[in-house]
Amino acid sequence: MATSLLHLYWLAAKISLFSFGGIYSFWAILNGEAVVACQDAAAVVSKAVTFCRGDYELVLALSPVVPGPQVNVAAILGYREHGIAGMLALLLGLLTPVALLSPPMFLLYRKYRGRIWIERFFRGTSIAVAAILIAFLGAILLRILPGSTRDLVIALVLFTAIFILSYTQRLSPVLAVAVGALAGLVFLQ
Amino acid sequence: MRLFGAFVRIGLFSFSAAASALIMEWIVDRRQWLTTEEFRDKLSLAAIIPGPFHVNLVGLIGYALGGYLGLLLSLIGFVLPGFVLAVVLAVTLSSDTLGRFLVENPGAVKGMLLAVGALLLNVVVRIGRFALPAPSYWAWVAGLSVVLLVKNVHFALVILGAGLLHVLYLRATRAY
Repeated sequence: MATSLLHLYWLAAKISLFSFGGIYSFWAILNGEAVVACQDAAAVVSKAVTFCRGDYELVLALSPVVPGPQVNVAAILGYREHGIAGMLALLLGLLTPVALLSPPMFLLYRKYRGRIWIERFFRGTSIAVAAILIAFLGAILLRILPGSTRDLVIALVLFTAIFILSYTQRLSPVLAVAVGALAGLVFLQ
Repeated sequence: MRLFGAFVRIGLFSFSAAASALIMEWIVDRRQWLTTEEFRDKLSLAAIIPGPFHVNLVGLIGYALGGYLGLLLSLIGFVLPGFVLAVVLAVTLSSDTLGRFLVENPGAVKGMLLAVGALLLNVVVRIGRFALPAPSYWAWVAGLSVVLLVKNVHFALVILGAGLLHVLYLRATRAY
């Protein structure tokens, strides 16, 4: 797996370019683009950058704990490949679209403000983003929902509880993950 | 002044992973660098610029306040604390103790993933309520989700396609 720093950088820039609404878009797209089961040799070779699913899930699980944009945590994946330089490559890749596009967009905005088609376009992309995120959620759930019925019920209860808490009570993400970890440790396998 | 301003971000913005837009509002009110009106402008623009929303917002504000230098400094300041923490995590995860603990206790990881999933659902619902013009749009979301679950369509295609189709669809179905 000879992934170079440039590949990492490019991957992050590509994904960042399309991470429209939602912080988790980044993860969802990353999942589709670069995450494979480690044992799948063919898949590993076919892409420039790949990450093991196990690593990916671990990092994803930790993501709410780290402040700042999600890529900070995703950068951990870069560590395996190229140490801290790898992490930096991912981080810089994420920042590139903003850095390059902000100034021109800023100026253009003044000119094109209020054009209807822009708003419509982005409502359209919101549909896509929501769908991508839901599909991603589905994929996560399918991956981790365990076999036994007892575990399944526990998992669903936990999920619903955390969801309700965070939606209505604005439960802090860090707490949510902590609760999840503890409950999972005790009840799940 | 602008250097200092961007540096303040280092201390302040390193907070909640989600909904840090609230914290930024704090900067507007507290420091008075932008009016609420201007801030809202930035919000809309940040949503439009390709890239993660919060990163965009930070960058835009930095640019508005301090030109290109402001842009760079505010971004660096914003990501720095989290990045440092990430490096720490990366190193400790690679070491035997924590890494092995997590591998040997997959239940904990599953629990955490469930939490992340719940948070994710949270985000989706909020996006939907905020951005979708009418509840009927959820039908489209649902349908598209099912399709995506089954077939891995390239994300750029989906996102751009949806935007484009929406514009065309609205044009076709009512007077502009």
